[in-house]
Amino acid sequence: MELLYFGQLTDITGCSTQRLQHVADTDTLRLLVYAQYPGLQKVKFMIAINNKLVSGNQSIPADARIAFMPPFSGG
Amino acid sequence: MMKQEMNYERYQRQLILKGFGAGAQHKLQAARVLVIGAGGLGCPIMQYLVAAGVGHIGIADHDIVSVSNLHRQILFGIEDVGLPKVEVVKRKMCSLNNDCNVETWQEKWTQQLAVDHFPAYDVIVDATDNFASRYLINDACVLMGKPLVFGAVSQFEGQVAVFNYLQEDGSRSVNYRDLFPEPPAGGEVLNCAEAGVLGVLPGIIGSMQATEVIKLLTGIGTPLVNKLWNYNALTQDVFTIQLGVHPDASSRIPTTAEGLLNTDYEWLCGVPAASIMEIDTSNWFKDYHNHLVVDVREPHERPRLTSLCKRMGISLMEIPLSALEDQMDSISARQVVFVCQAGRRSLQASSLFLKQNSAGSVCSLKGGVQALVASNHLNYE
Repeated sequence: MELLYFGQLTDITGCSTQRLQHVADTDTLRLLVYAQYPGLQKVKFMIAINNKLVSGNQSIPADARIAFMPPFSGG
Repeated sequence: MMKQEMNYERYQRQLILKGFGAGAQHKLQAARVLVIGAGGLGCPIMQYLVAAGVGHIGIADHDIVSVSNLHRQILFGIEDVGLPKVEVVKRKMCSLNNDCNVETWQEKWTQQLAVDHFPAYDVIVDATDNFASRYLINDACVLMGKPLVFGAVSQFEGQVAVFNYLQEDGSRSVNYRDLFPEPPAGGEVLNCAEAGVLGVLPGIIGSMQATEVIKLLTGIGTPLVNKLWNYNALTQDVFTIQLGVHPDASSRIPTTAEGLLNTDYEWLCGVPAASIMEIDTSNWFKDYHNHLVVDVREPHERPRLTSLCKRMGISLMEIPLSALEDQMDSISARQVVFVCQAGRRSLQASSLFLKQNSAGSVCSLKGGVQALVASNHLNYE
């Protein structure tokens, strides 16, 4: 499973990509990344599995690429 | 005023394009596009739309041109500093193409302006720089049935999308609320003044937005509908996300003009309450020098305030915003001036402080350390 972090999320994670053992669903994944990067709990982001936006808890297929995308405000 | 005769020589290079031709050019000439924000995104959007022959452009921006705009807002020159942006824009757009009629508003865009003027426009373009405006514009477009071309930047990255597009089946495509149903908390996402932005980036993202507007108006190509396009200038990577309807989105959008007018977007987006005083540098030294200063920047941010505070006899604490909630107890003073790099995180720090110390007197230094540098109280060395 590959995780991709975008925008100012990379200021929290210190990286833009990360490899992780497969987990069952997005709720489990959230807990895992919150434990590793507590700063992520305080910011908004959406989750896309294999380039598709998901809402609520969704199961994660094998070898998924998961993007964490925050809102941008600048103009 | 718009001329009825088409200037074939002027538009020759796009007229000869396959699928474009005189038909598309006439559509541009008859079109009315409203661009909200005349900053890093707004400048290239307007320039390309006016150059392409869009017949009527509305442009709204309350700001004046400042020196720190010039590295990315390349429509403006040093002689424009201090002038209202819309005044300069109108002059330059008329000289670029006198086929185009330019309508301006030198004021912050409001719900009332949206209700009054959106009906007269074919496409709305969000080129603003804050969430309160972005959510207001999105909700107003959904309410009033207008397609919205969205663009936003952050440091080295940008996002582009077309929202609320009328699809073949008669339904509307997704809107910004389907991505992020609720705005982030105030200060959670840093703006360009706080986080910085590569000057060329809004040029790229604004040009993408102009492309989408031209596609919507002429019907060429496939618009960026139900997709979010992300661009990273450091890697030149493009990442596109397929969007879908979010179950929480529609319930948050006002369903009447009255509901829109009664929604406080600044409050929703965490714009500070009146009890936080924003002070400028001269106020600070004159009236608040006995307040404790808390620098909420990260340790790597420069220049530090240590020597300035020592020189002025001001007490200083350094607590990064990310650690402030946990370390609030270490602030024993009740009169505090919060300082950050550009004055945004210090506002967030002020509201956190007020939450825990409702009787305190709290100020936020307007413009932050950048204002201290601009007024020669500090320098970057």
